Amino acid sequence: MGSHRGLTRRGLLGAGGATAAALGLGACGDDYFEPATDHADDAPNAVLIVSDSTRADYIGAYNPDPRNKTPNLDALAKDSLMFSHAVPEAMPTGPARRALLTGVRSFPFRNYVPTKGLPVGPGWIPIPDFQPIVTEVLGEAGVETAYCTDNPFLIGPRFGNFRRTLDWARPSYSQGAYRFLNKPFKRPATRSTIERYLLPDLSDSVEVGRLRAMAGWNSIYRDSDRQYPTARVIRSGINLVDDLKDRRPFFLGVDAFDPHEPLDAPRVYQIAAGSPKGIELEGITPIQPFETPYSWVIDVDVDSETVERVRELYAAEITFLDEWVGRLMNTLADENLLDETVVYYMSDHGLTLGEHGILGKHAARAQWHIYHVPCMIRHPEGKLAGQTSDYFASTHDIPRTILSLMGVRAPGQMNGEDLSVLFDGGAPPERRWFTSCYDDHLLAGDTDWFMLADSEGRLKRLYDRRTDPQEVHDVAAGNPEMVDALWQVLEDEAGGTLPQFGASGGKAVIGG
Amino acid sequence: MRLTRRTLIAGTGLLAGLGLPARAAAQDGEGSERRAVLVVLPLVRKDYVGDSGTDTPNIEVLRGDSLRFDRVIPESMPALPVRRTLVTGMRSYPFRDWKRTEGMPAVPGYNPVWDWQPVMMETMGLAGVDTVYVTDNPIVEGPRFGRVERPGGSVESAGRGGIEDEIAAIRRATRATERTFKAGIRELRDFSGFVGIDPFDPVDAVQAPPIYIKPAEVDREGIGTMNDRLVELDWGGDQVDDLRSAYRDHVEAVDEWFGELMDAVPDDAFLFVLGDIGIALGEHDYIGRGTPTSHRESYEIPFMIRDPDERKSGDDVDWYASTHDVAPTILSYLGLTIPGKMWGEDLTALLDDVDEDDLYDRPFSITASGSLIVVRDKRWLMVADREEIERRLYDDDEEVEDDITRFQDVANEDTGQLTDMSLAALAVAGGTLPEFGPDGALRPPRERGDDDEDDDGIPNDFDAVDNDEPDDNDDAEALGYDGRDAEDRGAARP
Repeated sequence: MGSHRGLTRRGLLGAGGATAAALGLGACGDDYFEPATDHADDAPNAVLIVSDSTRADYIGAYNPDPRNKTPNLDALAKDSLMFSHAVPEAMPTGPARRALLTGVRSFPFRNYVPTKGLPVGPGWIPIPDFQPIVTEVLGEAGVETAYCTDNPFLIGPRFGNFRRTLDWARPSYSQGAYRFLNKPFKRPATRSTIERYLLPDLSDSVEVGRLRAMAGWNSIYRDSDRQYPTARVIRSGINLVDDLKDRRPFFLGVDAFDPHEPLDAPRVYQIAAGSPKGIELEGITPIQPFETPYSWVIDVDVDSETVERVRELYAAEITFLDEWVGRLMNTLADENLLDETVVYYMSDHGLTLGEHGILGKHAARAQWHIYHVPCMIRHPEGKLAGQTSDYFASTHDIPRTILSLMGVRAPGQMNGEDLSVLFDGGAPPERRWFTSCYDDHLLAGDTDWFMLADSEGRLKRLYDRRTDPQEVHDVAAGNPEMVDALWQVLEDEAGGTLPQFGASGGKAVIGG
Repeated sequence: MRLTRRTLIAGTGLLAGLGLPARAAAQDGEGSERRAVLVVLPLVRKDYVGDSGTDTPNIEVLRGDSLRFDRVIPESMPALPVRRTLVTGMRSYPFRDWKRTEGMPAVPGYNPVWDWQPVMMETMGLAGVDTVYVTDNPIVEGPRFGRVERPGGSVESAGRGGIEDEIAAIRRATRATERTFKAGIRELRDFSGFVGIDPFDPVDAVQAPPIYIKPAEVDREGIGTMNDRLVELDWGGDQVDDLRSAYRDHVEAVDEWFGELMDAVPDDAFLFVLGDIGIALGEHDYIGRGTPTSHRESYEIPFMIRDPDERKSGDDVDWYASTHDVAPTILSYLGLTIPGKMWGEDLTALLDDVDEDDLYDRPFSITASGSLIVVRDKRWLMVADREEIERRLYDDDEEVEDDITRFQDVANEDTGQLTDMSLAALAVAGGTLPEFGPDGALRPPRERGDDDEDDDGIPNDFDAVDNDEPDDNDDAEALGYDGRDAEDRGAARP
């Protein structure tokens, strides 16, 4: 395991739940407003840390691989209840954020209609009018709410109803590849500037424009590590802690879009992650090794050394994220907030890095590289610190858990489970299988089996995780009863029928 | 800005003593002396309680002591789906999970509680709370439902030959009430935890109630076949009088038995009393239970919560509570964590001084009966089939006294209501309404007369793949679904 920088250097987290005497905060009332009484008197604060595209197996606490240098997240895991089999209930970024914010399952995307300003594909819709939003419920209960993110969809035109629920909204428009959604500024770099990032086989692709936008932005706005998107987001989180510390209880969301592609961590992290190999030796740093959302490895014509380098660049991004998560945690520690704050960390989906012949994310390849994400909850009293739960925790469980730990009633529509019962020695209702969906594909499984099917059920692929943990060999033909059982699980979870989508997702779902 | 909002919610405190949030109480129910009683008043319409022509002193006394909800219609109908909703806390609307079940009528909504649904009594039992449910309902059966007491009703022959048979059904409901309440009184003598007393006519599990309508109305209303429940019948005023008189007798008998039951309910128990479904008694030319009538009183049921600490005693609420709110509310009162799949709201919030306007917004009251959906607010009432081929909208403005204007179908007039209500019905259903074939909810729906060239059950318009000529990109081989293919495509060993 990596060395422990950051958090444990202060020994604060290592102490594993310093005495909880401070939990009953008399600080609840300040001179600004009458303390609202909807939340519990001793409600702890909530800090929700989200990182995009983060694979669990690239975090040291989940996978002690020497490549994974995540000392701060490891330290957080050591102080947290860690969910070893967390699976987002719907993917990718957009639907996962909806579940994280509403607590309502997006699965199986029955309410999909193509929406301007969002990608075209099942699941990409704004938060519907009739759904609750966790920050709205918290706000009405008298909790100060803040959210900072550079996620282009959350700060884009379609999530205004979420941002309006916030007391403190801190958008950060720094995501190069997706800045076209936000358009605060546009000065693309020249083609020659990006040649050193561009794989030859992508030289005619849409990535040219994205990389030019990113490089153009960087040349103006990025002169130190502190200006990288992750740093910007978490810095605004750290600044918000300063604003929020006297307005307890508070909810703070810190939602970083990285380690999303392009995999451009600061140079020093890229070097620390490994040595140049493959195509990098020819002068091309493969920070954008595929045409988003995915490319076949064979189509971008890179060798396995280059794929290995791509993994290192991805790991470097996570290390950079980890560094800043550590700073955020240190800030909470410095402000003596850790004893009265629940810290949640989760990701929305993973990224395929050469496995199954894919670079990127592909719904038909949404195997464990995509669906297995980190998830941990740090209880302020140190309850269950360092313990692991194999419950199939999901994105839509988080809002109910946040509300419950703050003593606020959750709206009935929030159909996630209240995970806080674990801290009281209880167990949430049994979740025998995890179920999820990604575009027009459906996922179901447990620790032994995994099924990936298209929503029409034409192709159902089954993997025996006990003998094939990489989920490569389809054994559906030999196990028809397991295929049927998992398909039934999906239908049941969807309430009886599964929706079908028009060609290419360009049409609204009709019926089913 | 913030100040204003805080000021608004200040004073809606919920933490005074007993008003603990659900999870604050002991998760395992231990140490909690709390107990709860659920009582169902079968077939009782809200407008018949306290009506000048009907003598219902006992229910009225309770109404005075309770927090009562004035605009409740069950979220699905008729009697059997109501029970599924009551014990699962999940919406049964729009019957997406319907599969034809042996021994039950081929009508959407008639199926048992599925294994994947939460059950209120199971949640209580896992937390160590004692439960007993008194009913003749055959779907409340099995280890998940805790202890079930059978008052001993049997399936009596039920016809659909007209008013006489409807009167017979009402009388069966009276008898079910008598035997179930008697058995319930025995259970109430010395209990801890939860007692449910739910009179149920076993015929309602094997037969869907008929809908009687005057022949002239069938075409005019365009109500379709109604899963074979529709019976055309011409009746006279005398027969309606007989029916209403029989119904009044039923309500009075229920009230009398309810009085005896109330003597047995201890004062320290949380009491939830509600009707199951209403009944149309010839108003607007409909007779029957769970009918698609334009007469709103035929849907509305009594719905009351009596708190042992007399919180909100005598208050009334317009918020559109419904049957799926029952299970979450009782669980919350007992200090148990509500399973996430239960969709209903925790109404104990109201007891804790939360204003009804601060409950989660429920702009319409939405229900399903068979293949029909009914959407309602304080003024408008929409009845539609789920393909939305037939949609009727009634402007039931209470200010307007002229019945002719009030109960005319105004769906063709541009009121905007039809769209709003249809969208709300779709939103609550999750985005689409299922259609039904003979054996269950269809996936996907077929529009009538749709072409389906590749014969895969998916109409051409919605068929992503022509199975006769699969698109290369959609072909299994092209996508490399086989593991070896993936390696050929350059998959690196992890």
